[in-house]
Amino acid sequence: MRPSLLRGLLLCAAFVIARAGVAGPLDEPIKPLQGTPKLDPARVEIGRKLFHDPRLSANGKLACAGCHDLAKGGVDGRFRSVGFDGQTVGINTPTVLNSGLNFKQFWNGRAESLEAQIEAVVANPVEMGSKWEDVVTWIAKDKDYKDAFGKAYKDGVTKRNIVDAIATFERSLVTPSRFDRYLLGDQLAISGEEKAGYAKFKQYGCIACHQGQNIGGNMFQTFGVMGNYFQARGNPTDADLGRFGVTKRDGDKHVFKVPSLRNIALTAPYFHDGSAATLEDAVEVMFRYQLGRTAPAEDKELIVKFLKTLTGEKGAW
Amino acid sequence: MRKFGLIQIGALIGVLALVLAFLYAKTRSYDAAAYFENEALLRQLRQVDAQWELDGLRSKMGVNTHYDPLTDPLLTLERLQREFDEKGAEAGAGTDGGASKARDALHQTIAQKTDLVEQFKSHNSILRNSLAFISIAADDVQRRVSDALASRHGDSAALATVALETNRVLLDLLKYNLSSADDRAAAIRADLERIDERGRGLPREVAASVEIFLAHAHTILREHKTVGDLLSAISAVPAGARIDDLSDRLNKWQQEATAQAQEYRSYLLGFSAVLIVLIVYFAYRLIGSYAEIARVNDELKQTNEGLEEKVTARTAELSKALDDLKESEAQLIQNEKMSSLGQMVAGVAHEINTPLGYVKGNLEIVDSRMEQIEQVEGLCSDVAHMLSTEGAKAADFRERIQTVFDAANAIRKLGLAKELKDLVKDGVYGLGQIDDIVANLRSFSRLDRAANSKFDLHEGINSTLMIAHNLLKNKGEVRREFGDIPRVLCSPSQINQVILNLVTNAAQALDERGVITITTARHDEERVRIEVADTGHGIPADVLPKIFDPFFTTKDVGKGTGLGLAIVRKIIDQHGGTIDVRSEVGKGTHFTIVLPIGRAAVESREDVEFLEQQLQAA
Repeated sequence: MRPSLLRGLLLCAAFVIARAGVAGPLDEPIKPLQGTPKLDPARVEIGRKLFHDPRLSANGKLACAGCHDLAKGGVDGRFRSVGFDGQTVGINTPTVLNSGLNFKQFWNGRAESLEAQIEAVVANPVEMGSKWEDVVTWIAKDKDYKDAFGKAYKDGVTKRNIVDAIATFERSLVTPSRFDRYLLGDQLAISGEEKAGYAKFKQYGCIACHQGQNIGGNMFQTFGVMGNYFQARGNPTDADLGRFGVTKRDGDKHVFKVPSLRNIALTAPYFHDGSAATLEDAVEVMFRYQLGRTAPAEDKELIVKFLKTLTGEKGAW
Repeated sequence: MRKFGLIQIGALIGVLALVLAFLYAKTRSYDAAAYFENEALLRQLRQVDAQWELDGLRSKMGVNTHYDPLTDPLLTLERLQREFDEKGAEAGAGTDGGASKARDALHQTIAQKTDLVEQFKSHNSILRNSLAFISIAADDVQRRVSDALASRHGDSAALATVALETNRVLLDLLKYNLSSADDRAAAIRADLERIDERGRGLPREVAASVEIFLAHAHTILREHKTVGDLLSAISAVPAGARIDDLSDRLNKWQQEATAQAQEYRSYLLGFSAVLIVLIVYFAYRLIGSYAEIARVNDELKQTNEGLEEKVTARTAELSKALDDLKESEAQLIQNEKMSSLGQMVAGVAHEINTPLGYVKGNLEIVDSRMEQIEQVEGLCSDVAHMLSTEGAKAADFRERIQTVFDAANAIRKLGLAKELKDLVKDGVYGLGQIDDIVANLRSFSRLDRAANSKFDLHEGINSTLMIAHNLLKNKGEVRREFGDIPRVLCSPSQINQVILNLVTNAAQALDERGVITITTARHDEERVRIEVADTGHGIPADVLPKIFDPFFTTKDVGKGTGLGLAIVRKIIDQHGGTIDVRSEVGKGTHFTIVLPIGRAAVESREDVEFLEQQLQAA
């Protein structure tokens, strides 16, 4: 073959291959993240400072980042986090990453918004143990905060604005992953096995609850649909009652907010009780008590592989 | 119109302005924009709600593969509700309890719906999973059964039955899923029961797979009903009705508010009309008053002009009346003067008559004596003639001269010359008397002198007494007590008139034996005093104050004019002097005149002219 023709063919092939990699966005039950939302950078900055400021706690020892460490996937990796004065909290700490996409906050969905969650945590006697009047007072006294608030907010330092700043910062913590790129059309973003894992994820019905933009976080579900998880585990606590704690309805016993699977590879241990130490264990529990099905080990492995694609690629946070 | 003070007017205007402002504010209180905003919010709510239900169905049917469409509306619904609450409160639509109850009802229904949707999501995902899996589970059973049958594990009949029934139940389940008749569910449950029983005796793997199949079959039965009920409940939630209710309220409120605004607008219009009417009325009154003022002004002007004319006319009338009056006065004065003049003239005539009589007599005697003188003269001329003619005989001549001597002797013997001298002397004396009288008259009238002059009062008094001599003849004596007085600047004729009047009155008051005393003296530095006193019958006390009044007289009708003393007073007044009287009935009357020395009489032209006229006429 003539050299120029060969070059041309190769070029065409390369082009086709390249193009094959970039297809149109897929229409899947999981929706991709599309960059960071539009937020006021000044407010995000104040929120970032506050998020890392231990003076939000009563004794000035614990910041939000203490339990929601951004370097550790938005959690502290502990079975149970420890509050400002050394008390352990009653439930496993969920991640702050992408938490703005959750339809409610806390495992039992008692906070309707990030703002409500922030208000509750700062005042929680176990977690940060502060009084909001005190928080507002010392922030107002801090010159840097006062100036920053004055610039970013019309009415300066108020409880509402403090909460808003932190929430705005949290909303900025979205973590697009390889899988999002795949969903947006980049066929080469995940491997064949990971794609197969996603197919299994769908096939086995994990997708029934872990769906939407946050791959979960948009509905409640009983923990132990096809089997009694708590009976099997034993040692029931109040936290195990889930939504019942909010609605006081029997039907809501053991009902929890379906957690997001984004960055799941980083946020062990899993479940509200932190009982699954690894993804494999978690998948195992899910199959038995939620899906009521058996699956071969390979399928479960593929699913785990898929789950690992949900980790955010290094971003602004 | 009652007079309003400034404060009252201000208060009235203030009240009117307040009412106007109030009415205007009421018309503005309805904000149409708020209504439309609220209406839009409700419309959005309706849409979101409808879409939400639709998405529910789609999730049930599997068209929606994830629950974000069922979750996202939550935020929207909350926001819309919050906005509606805020805007509703602003627009005042929520002021009545009914509206806030309606809003609460809406909140409740949406909360209720949200809860149902949450449950739906949970149960629907379970249902869908089981539905998706049930065929596989059934397949699994078949496989296990065929494996068992192939390896001769277990009761093949039972195995076969189980496999068969499993398939049948699967079909029933799938059919049930599409229809959802409750009796079907019962039948399927019965079948499942049987399979469960049969499954107990089967080999473990088969039993396990059957167990799984049954679990999901039950799940389907349970969840299908639950999901169906939830969907019915969701569609039964009257969120739409509540929204419509709110919309109706909003409409009603809006209509009411519009109607009220209209009402207030019409009040405003009415009020404005009333104000305009008031303004027009007041303007009309104002114009009226101005017109009135203008008219009155005009009238005033006209009256003024008329007045001028009237005044002029009146003045002319008055002048004429005054003239008439003066003329009457003058007439009366003239009459009085006439009478006094008459008296005086009578007296004067008498006075003149006397010397005139004997002068005339004397001249007649002279005339008669002339005869003898003429005789002698005749004889002399005869002699003369005889002398002159030749031939005259000495005897005749001697005869004739003898006759002349005889005639002359006769005259001499008569003393004719002396007699004639005496007669002439008498006559001249008599003429002298007449001369005096005339001179007195002249002096009295002072025609040849100016009205005011420095006058010797004594001269005047003497002249006057001379003129009044006739009157005073039989009335006792007249005493003069003249003091040392200078000449007085006055109207001599008038002063003479005064003296004459007083003297005449005094004479009239006297009987045969009386005394009139005229005294002059220096009263002080600047004044002289003249006193005329008589010892007549006096003036009674009640009459005394009136004697100077014009037309007042105690004389009989026709005898006196009553003006004498009035004129006297007037003359004295004009001279700036005073006149006083003292009188005692039976004793006498005493007049005292004080005249300034240096002051001239205020000229009274009429008097002067009148006197001139009368004297000329006389």
